[in-house]
Amino acid sequence: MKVLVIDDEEDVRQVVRLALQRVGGMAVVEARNGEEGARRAREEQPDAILLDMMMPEVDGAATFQLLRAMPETTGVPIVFLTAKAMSTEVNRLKVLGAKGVVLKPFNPLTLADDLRNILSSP
Amino acid sequence: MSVPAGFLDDLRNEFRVASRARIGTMAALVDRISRDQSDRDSLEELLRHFHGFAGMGGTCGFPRISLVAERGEAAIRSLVGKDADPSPMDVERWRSLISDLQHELSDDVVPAGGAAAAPQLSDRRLQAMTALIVDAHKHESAQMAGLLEAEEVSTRVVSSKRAALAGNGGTPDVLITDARLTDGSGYELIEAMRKAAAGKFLRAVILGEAGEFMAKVTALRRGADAVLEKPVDAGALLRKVNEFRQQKYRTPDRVLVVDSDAAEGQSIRETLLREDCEVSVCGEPSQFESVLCDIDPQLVIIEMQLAGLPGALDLLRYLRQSERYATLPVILITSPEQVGTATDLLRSGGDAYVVRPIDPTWLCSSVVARLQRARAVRALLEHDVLTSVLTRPAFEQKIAARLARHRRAHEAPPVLCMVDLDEFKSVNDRHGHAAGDRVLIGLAALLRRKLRQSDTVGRYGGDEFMLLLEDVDLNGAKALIERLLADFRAIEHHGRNSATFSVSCSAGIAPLRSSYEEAMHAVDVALYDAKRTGRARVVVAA
Repeated sequence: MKVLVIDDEEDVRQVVRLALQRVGGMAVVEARNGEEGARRAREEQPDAILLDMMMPEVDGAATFQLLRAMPETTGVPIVFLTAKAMSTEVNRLKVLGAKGVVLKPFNPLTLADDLRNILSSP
Repeated sequence: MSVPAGFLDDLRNEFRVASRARIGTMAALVDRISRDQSDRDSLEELLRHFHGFAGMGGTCGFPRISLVAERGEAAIRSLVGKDADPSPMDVERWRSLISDLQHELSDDVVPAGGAAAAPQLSDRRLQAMTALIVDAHKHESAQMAGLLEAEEVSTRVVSSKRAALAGNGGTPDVLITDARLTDGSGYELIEAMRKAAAGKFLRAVILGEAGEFMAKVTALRRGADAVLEKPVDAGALLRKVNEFRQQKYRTPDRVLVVDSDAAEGQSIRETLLREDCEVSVCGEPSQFESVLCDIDPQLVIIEMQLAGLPGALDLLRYLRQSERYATLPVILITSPEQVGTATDLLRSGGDAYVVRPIDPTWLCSSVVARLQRARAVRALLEHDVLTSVLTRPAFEQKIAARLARHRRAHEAPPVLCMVDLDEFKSVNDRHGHAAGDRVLIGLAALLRRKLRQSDTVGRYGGDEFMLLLEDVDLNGAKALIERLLADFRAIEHHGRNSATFSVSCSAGIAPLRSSYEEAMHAVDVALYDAKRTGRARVVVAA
């Protein structure tokens, strides 16, 4: 499984990479912002995209719309990464079409499994 | 899926290293904002850093960092939302939070059974305060200053109003002034200082007229936070200053919400986050007892429509019949049609109820007022009057809670330690009871100052103190206590007629595994060994 993680913070990307690669055996591609994310998504055709909600300039919600609008990426399931305090947004995001949400701080040991569970749910 | 060895340790270590630089940046940002409150760019950058810590702390093995950072994030968002400039108090709060973050990163956790680097004596348990004493009576002022300095309160002494106001060094945290000064009244000084402080933290204590009720009322109306009669009771002064310290460095209050509706629980959590509360939501009432132990909340909110057993009434009755929770404030959540039942529940021990739809302002006011009072009551009940450490019953309650708390796999058991002053009776005989009291206060202050927030200190008997140490193995604990006792032995205490003397302590150490009685017995035996083999030493139970 190949996952694209889009997050402006390097430490987040690093820990997500470690958690998905070392624990989950997944392949990981990174992007630092919405635009780079859209480009990498087209190039790499990941099986899933893990997308941070809070990013400067082009935030998670805008990036989501961007990815949905492009024919090459519109079918890729997108899972949001967001802090607890904003989980009231969860339902809104799901209605918009997100596959699911991972709350921060996440458990690095279970991130890969949690992601798999979200992706395999109806 | 297998967990690669060292994965979590790697995460922790890398996080720790990266965080140090980040904290430095945050401190610089706070400095910049304190010089220019309209600096929005720095404020937003600071917010991003808090947000970053909040999101990653727990993931990398530092859950408390997430909690602390969340508060910073919430505070700044609230400012930004109101489009308000930060006040000096905001700046101080952030500095305190950043210092908390630093502290959480500073101590190395010693893995169980691993080679132990002795944990550093962390000077963080008593957060620093500053005080200004304004009094013409030199001897009394010096004594008060000495007491305060021992409690990590950096103290300046002056003898007139003019000298106090001329002060460079900024506003003290605590102003202690005689009601009658050579060049004016203490009240005038308080008013002038508050004006100069312009919103910064300042507490004022008036020393003065004995007895007169109306004089005290006047003092409070004129800006004093507390009134102490002369001659000043050392214990009363210290307790008051420590109360101010708690106010300045407020740790977040813990609130437990029992509600089967997760969305409502989450909404309450977000509302109370604004008031600096850490809210935990329990969706399974059957877990109530163990969650209570785990969280040790200062206030509980119970939703009335809990289905099945236990119901709201059951939980209330359970709380009120237990010694430990009898005074815990409880707020109920009810729907309009159940208000009659809610009113009945007040009789069974509820303090108040909130009717849906929950008005956030109402909720915050009810919670905050009760938390403040509960804090004051609990402090009085739980702390030894002379030394300000926990009383024996309060300490034993903490032990019980600790034992009941779920232990993480591979977590080292906490370490129990009894510290006993050597030949204390002869100190009282030779130097007097007042000196003996000062020795006790001094030892307690040293323990409170040098141990960590996660460690617990209690006064067990006349001259015995019990410690519960976390995140350290037996060897590390031994080294730690040995250093502490060496520091204590080096202190020169003052007796009668300019005599000075020093006092040593013996200590026994044992791990607290599953039984307090067992651990206590082992500690007793170890302490006895220490006394028997020459005193002034630390013995680890076999």
